[in-house]
Amino acid sequence: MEPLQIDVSKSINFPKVTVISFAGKMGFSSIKPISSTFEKEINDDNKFIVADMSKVASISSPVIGELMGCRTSLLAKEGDLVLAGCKMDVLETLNALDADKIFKIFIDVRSASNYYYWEFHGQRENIDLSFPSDLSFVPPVRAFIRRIAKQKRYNNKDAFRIETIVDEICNNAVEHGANEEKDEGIGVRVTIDRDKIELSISNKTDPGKVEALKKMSKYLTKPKTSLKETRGHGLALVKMLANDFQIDSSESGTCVKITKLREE
Amino acid sequence: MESTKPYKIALSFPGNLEYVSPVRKFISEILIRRSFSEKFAYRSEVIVDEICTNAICYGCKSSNAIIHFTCFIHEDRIEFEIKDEGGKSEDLNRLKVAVDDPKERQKSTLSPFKEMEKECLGLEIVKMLSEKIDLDIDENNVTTIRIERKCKAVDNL
Repeated sequence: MEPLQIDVSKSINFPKVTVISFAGKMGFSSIKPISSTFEKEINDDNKFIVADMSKVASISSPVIGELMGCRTSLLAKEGDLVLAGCKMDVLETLNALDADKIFKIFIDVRSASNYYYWEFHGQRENIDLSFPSDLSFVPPVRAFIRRIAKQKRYNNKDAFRIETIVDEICNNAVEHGANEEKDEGIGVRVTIDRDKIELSISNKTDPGKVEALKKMSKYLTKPKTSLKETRGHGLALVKMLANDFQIDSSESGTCVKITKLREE
Repeated sequence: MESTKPYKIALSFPGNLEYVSPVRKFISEILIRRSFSEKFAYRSEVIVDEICTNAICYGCKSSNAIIHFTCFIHEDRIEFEIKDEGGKSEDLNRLKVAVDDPKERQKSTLSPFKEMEKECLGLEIVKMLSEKIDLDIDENNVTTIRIERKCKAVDNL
């Protein structure tokens, strides 16, 4: 059997991340070279490591155990070891041993490196979206933002609450904003980092709806709680779910800014 | 001649593969909401996946690269436009060859192309599922791909 090839490099876009690339079969005989490679990197204080598994044909359980040991050493130094680019066979082995619950597994090295910057360096990511002022677009938008929150490892509860907020605010923006027909009438900016998600939802104001907007702003300070009232409960709900909530409304447009902290 | 304006959805997201799945589902759900068939939506989703993956893998050099994606929804067709900051010259050459006619590809003298032929499969699927595919690379290497896909009777079967 050909020996496992090991190559150590720095991530192209994220120099603080070390990439250890493996090629071949990760069998029992490869434990020693794997162990010494990690030992050297840990001694050199390279604590954020991505194991590039894209050229690994198979992995044995002793090697998984060895990688777990290396990860434990890195965790002790406040670093981590994550896996990237695993092929189906390797993923199946990891799943069978429940190792997928221990290691974070990424689709490629770039995503894995990105994770470190996200987790340890406070990296923020922006997503901008604009869509027509039409209610039929709101369910896909709310689901899209929920999926992003989930993808970024927010838990189900947080993701659902974020989705609820997006739904309420976008529905209001469509209902009370200017109808721009098929243009991008509603703008949504999502800024997400490890600790919080910020939403900024804007729309142009319909001159005929300025009074309705003023009423809507009133619900913020005095949310309706009476069951007899049929409108205005949405904003009360948003206010309850969000950690910060501001409405900036003028005759030209309305912008709602919301901050939701990650609760897990 | 079409009398109505298309619906326009514009999206910018980080050049990170984690976003591809939410984006493809988003477009698919919108198409279903706009009364296109599930088959049409799924096939469009495949196109979105391929072009977004290519843009991220080959068109994002910097760590903060952004992908700009626009979708126009007409009554009988959709158009996608995807823009990235542009990749290495060999990737751009591959892209040009992949978008061109297959005969042109056979004539290509790009040495690594044979080995990379497999990786062009994504664009082959895109070409198979769409009516029109245009590539534009500006002087700064900013790369724009435009795709048009018509809704045909077969999509509703």
